[in-house]
Amino acid sequence: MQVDVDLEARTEVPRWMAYGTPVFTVLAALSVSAVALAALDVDPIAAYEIMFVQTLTTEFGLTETIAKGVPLIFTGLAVYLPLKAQLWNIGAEGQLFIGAVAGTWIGLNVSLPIFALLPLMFVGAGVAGALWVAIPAWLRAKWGINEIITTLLFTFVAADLKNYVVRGPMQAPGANFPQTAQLPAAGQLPVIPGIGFPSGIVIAVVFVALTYLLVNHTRLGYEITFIGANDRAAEQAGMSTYRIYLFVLMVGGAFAGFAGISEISGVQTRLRAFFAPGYGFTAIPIALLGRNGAFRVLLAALFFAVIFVGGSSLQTLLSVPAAIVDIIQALIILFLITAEFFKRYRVSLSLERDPGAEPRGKRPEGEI
Amino acid sequence: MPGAGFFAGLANATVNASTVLILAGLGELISERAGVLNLGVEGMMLVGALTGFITTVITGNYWLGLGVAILAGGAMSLIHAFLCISLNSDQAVSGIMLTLLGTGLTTFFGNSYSGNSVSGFPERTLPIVGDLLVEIPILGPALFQSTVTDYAALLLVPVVWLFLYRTNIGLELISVGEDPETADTMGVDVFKMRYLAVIIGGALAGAAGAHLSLAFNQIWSASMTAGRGWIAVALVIFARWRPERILLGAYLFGLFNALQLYSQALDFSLGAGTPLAGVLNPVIDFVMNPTIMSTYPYLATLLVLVITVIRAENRELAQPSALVQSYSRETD
Amino acid sequence: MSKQILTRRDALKAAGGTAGILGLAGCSGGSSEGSSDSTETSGSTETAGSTATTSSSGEEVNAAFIYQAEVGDVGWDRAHEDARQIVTEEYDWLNTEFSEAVAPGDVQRVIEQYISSGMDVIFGTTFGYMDPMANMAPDYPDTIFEHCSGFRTEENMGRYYGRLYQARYLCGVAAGLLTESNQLGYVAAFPIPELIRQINAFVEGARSVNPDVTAEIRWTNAWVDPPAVTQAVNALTSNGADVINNHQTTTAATQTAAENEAWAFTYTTSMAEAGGDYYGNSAVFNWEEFYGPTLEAIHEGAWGSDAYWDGLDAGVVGLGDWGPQIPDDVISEVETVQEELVSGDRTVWQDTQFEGESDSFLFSEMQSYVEGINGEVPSS
Repeated sequence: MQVDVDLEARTEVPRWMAYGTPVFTVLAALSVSAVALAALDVDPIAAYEIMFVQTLTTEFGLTETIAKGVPLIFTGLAVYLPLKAQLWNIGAEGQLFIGAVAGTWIGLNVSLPIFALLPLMFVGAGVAGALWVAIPAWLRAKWGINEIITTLLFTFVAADLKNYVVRGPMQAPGANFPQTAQLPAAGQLPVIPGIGFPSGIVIAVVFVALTYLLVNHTRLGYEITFIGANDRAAEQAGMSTYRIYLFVLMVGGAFAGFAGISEISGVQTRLRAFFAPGYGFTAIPIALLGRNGAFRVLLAALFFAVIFVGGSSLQTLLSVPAAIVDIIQALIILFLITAEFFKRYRVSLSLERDPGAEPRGKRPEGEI
Repeated sequence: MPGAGFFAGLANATVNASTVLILAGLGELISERAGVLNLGVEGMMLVGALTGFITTVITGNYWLGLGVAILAGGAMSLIHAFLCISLNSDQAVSGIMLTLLGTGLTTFFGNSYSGNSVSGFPERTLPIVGDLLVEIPILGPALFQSTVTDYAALLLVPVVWLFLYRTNIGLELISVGEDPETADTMGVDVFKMRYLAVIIGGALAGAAGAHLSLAFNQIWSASMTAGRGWIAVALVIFARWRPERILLGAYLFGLFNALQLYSQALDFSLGAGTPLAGVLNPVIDFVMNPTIMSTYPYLATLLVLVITVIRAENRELAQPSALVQSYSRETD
Repeated sequence: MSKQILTRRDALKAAGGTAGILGLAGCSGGSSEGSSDSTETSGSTETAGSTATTSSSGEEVNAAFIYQAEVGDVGWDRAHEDARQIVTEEYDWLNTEFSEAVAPGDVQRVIEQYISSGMDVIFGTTFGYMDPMANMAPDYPDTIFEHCSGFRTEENMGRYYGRLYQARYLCGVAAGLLTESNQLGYVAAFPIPELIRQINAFVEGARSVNPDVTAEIRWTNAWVDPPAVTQAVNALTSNGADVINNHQTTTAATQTAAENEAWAFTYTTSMAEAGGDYYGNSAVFNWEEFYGPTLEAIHEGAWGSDAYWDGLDAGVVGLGDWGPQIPDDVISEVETVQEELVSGDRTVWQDTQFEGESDSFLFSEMQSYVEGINGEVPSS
């Protein structure tokens, strides 16, 4: 099972490939899933018509996709920004929990009108998410400890802390089940009058635009991208990886915190002990799909929202088992990372040596 | 004050909780020593647990079940190996995907097996000396009244140690994780070595899953690993990539796990007359809260990371230098 | 601990299966409160009312069932799914659909989809669906909502639950007769009133026939964690317990108890295979006893929003099949006690600190053990 071919990193990804790859990937994953669906006596064409066409062409489908998309956009950004500096924020789910806890606590304990309370909840959630990732960020920036592992460890700690506070200090009085009280009306994200879309999408799009501006049009963004491309050269050029690593991870943590409170405030209206939406993990393929730009993160997040919404339609309308939708999702990720390879490398038999062709993800010696 | 029976029970529970961590942890350690982080342990364990279980239900032969689980874990890891080693994909992404896939597949295909049970590996004493060993107070029954998979896990610790440090192939495997370019120059087949390491890792994760479904629980239940795959990932870091410390760490994590249940029979709070009782009792309550206690393996791992890095003279973590780095041959 | 946070599905698994245990009736909120009578055997509250909202007599009825977890072979969702299949078989005018693994955050979408595809009735079977269902009900006056295990009702939304603790009491009677060590063990998930109520009823049942019985509880803090359950059962049996009861959605407790040669009792569905010769019985839900009459009322246009909390008398809870080695005299004694409970000659809480407490107390405020249980309820 050894693939022993020579690879050459592409200096430039062909245009057709940049756009064609995600499309091809998704089509390939759907073809494989079609076999599974057919094996279950479900007509794949009808299934995909429900999953995509109906989801995207009905008002119901669009509204639901956007509602599902909001937290995915935020967690997508939470992984995307550190990835620009070649850091993997695997722990967005944990930052999301902490943001949800902090934001819900503010919503329940601070009495303010809606135009002040909602921003305060978001700020609180963002700060909490940023602080939650601060230790892994510092360990990475100062000591070079692998952020993949530490952010993940912190996620499990966050999950237990959330369970603890919701079953203990934050549990609604007089209730026998682990959940907080309901947020007051002033703490709930309203829908946009007229169109009926959840207003969280506006906040999400604003942050996508801000992230785009940051990465593409500021000095800071230039440094982030530079460090992501070659951290050694960046240090030699006088840039501080320490500062940038702290910055991207903590801003990422804040985005994940936003995801947590947007979901509680916009959809769930109270925090339950078993709240574990998995958005922080779905964000990883989202960031991978959208790694070339903040607006592509937005599109990728909406794509996964369609998969979720359309997938549950498959269940209600065609009685497809729930686990199949998960398997389709895993297949899409599988094909996605396979396709990344073909985008990045030209498989060739050439014996030429290209000194510039360093594989992505490589870190300098001694760094971990 | 708890008596000997309490400590015997605690010791037994600790050892019981540790086997699955030793098996999966050693597998992950081998994979990481070759430079490949595999976050799919939880998924591979579940696949091992289910395939082993179904095989045993159908054939009635738990040895065959264990064999199938090992193969299935290895097959799952092959996906990771292909993506990360041959296609240079991001290891973190591929591993997470593997866990998603394993959880989804086992939930779906295991659904109709969740009420079944099997007659799996029995608890046995060792031949000849076993009857004596089991008489050792407290630790005897814990260590020497066990299933084959428990013994195998213990035996694997020195075996992996010898394999890694005393065989050529083991040393080559380590060199691939430390410096693949140099290893390649020295004639080590980096790709082959990494494939081997990842597949051994998957096979051991499959065995860990089978230990749960065929030896320890002898049932199948969706998501029955309940996060133990992730604890195994943490364990490798806690052990700082040394097999002998895997054993130590597995017992410590196993003790945390056992204490969550065994501490419920004890009252730790200070009496009313004790100084500072009013301040300390809420702290003790918090620290001994079972939910809080389940964070201890992760906190212990973080602590080890931080202390090692900050206090060690050379700031060396002992992490394989090329971990999570993909390798591609540019010269030939 | 439910550490499964990696996938959505994991989370659902952890929360699911059992979600209904989070139920309560109640005290807070809810526009129409259920009965608060204190004699639990008299059971439910208003019987089906007379105000029909939809489905004039004789038409077909389309009903959707929504579960929080995947339906496995055992457990909470299995009990609902079995009942769905029974009533679907029973009535030729009834069409049913179901969705599994639906998180509370997603249930509104699923319900909307069902309504637009022509469903007349929505059965939501987990506590987490209560808020979304109650919020939606006024917007869909032509649809009937039935929510299991919550406390909110609306004009077109009823709630339902079963007094499983009565069946636990019967298991306790059997346990009290079977035990030789006079020590019972109980493996439980989370220390919330729903579980505490069932534990107390089990121990009361045992002590009603054997006052020397004591019981020990082990909390696993997870709905599904088979290895932890096995550890807990080992701890209990090594302390001398020779009867084990279970409150986690897995057969692990039953299996391990049998291995350790202790009688095994459990809940929601039968787990006879796992218990083998040591299997006692299971406190089960027979939801068809609720779904059947409710769907008939809808079919006849006679449905009205109510709060259903019935028990042994209605048959909505009961015992499953006895294990192969349970002596006949034990079974007949349990049957006698069951008759007394149904007739009202005996109540579960008589002679305890809970005697005379209201239903809403029983549901949501029971936070202490009855006599005979070692230790105290953990603080969180």
